[in-house]
Amino acid sequence: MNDVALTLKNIDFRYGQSEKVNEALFIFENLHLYLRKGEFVSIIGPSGSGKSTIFRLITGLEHSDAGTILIDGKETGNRLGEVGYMPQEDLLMPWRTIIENAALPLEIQGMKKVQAYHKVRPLLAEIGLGGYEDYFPKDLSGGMKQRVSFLRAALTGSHVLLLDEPFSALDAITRISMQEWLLKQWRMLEKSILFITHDVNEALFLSDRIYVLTGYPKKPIQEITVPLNRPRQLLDLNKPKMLALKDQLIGQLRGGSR
Amino acid sequence: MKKRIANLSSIILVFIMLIGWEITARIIRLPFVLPSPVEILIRLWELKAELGSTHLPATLLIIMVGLTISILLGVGLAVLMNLSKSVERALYPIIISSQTIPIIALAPIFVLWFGYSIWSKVVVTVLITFFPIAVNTFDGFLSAKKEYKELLLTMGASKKDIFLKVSIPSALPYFFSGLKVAVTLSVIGAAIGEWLGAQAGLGYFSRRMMTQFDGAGVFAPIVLLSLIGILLFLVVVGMEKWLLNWRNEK
Ligand SMILES: Nc1ncnc2c1ncn2[C@@H]1O[C@H](COP(=O)(O)OP(=O)(O)OP(=O)(O)O)[C@@H](O)[C@H]1O
Ligand SMILES: [Mg+2]
Repeated sequence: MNDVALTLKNIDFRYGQSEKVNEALFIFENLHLYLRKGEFVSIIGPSGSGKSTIFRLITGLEHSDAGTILIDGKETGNRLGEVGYMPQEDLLMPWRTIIENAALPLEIQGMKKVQAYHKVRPLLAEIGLGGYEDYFPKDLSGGMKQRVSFLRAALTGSHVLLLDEPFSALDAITRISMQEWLLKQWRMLEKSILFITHDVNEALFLSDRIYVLTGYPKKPIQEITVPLNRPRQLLDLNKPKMLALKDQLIGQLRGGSR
Repeated sequence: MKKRIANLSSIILVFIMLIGWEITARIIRLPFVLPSPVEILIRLWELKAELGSTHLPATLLIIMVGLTISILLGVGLAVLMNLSKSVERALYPIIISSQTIPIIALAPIFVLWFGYSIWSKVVVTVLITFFPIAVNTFDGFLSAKKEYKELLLTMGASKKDIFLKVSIPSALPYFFSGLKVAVTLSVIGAAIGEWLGAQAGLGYFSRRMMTQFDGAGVFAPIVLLSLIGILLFLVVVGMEKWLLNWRNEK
């Protein structure tokens, strides 16, 4: 199992530390999930099913009531600073320029500003943002901001990246080009990606495997392997077996929503 | 363009009011009660040496020392209250009640404590001006988005990182709002302080002229005081534009 980047075993979790244990408050009970090195895995589920909560547990912002979380097979302290996390909103700081935003994780790791910018500059150019270094986030389009946010997550240095609905706020066309862009980045950077979405097409197009969270009350998580080779084209989604899989997924999500 | 029109209309309005004042003053002709703007300007010119050499510097010194202390005290209190909830609960009521003190009634006591040194006036200035700075800056710390703090935590940031990279930038616009109020109040604070006991300063001079029934002499230093206030305000606005350049329009 040394090719596993991330493992969640027997996770129980509920929000709040209230004395009386209200069963209905459990978001997860005995949750299992793993991510292989270099794999692209999506988590799909209706709103409120606990997708973002899984990320809060992995990043160490929340602590599970039971179970273990392993990164590269090791259980490390509080996990803060161990994985790259791209939150649901872009969360670029309005008072920092693009290069300052992207270089933030490097600064926090203690790198000198000059050095950090020196490292970030070519990376910005690579993601099509050369010349925008000194712009402020408000002067960028949604897609550009998401790319900066992705770069910032990637620069945390971890090979595990958690991306929380990065493209949900984008229009359909930008979204498709961003999906293709992301696959390219994933191959180039050799990262292991866990990706949250509530869009079935997006999950099928991007992932090796898909976890389906039909949400609480405590239905077990379901796992689906996407039967497509890489590199993929958008048209691949129109193959009969993919259409069938899509219908099946939508059915599962419908059944799970309240 | 719109802004320029707004500026222009405000200048026109002031001009009309000044003309109205001038006309009224010339009609009632009681210069020690209501001197006309032109008389005031003439008196200001006559007094320029005396005001410029002693009284203006004395008042400026009080304002500068008072504002410096206010900024340190106001920001310091805001930082302390931001550090812990219990400090906040202890300090906040004291800060509020400090503003209910009738300072004019208390100022003679400051004179007893500090004599005629600048400190009795500095205390009055500080009492008036630290409040908007403390309260605004503290609100600014509260406005720092939890999401940014959490994002930094996931990057392995320390408390110090979060304070420097999230709390301070979030509080800065609020601090400047407070400072803008504080600098205009500082002029009033210094003047009140000098009115109540001083041997130099624009407030003191204005009062002395009153005992001599010199109406224009009362107003001349007041014109200077309000010019100082406007100037300080503009300086703060300039600093704000420069430091918060991320809010400016391209
Ligand atoms: N801090 C919190 N305290 C208490 N309950 C919370 C908290 N955060 C989330 N929840 C609850 O936990 C459940 C799961 O929330 P979560 O944000 O993980 O959902 P999600 O699947 O990411 O939804 P979405 O697709 O809308 O982002 C929701 O019912 C939510 O109300
Ligand atoms: Mg979510």
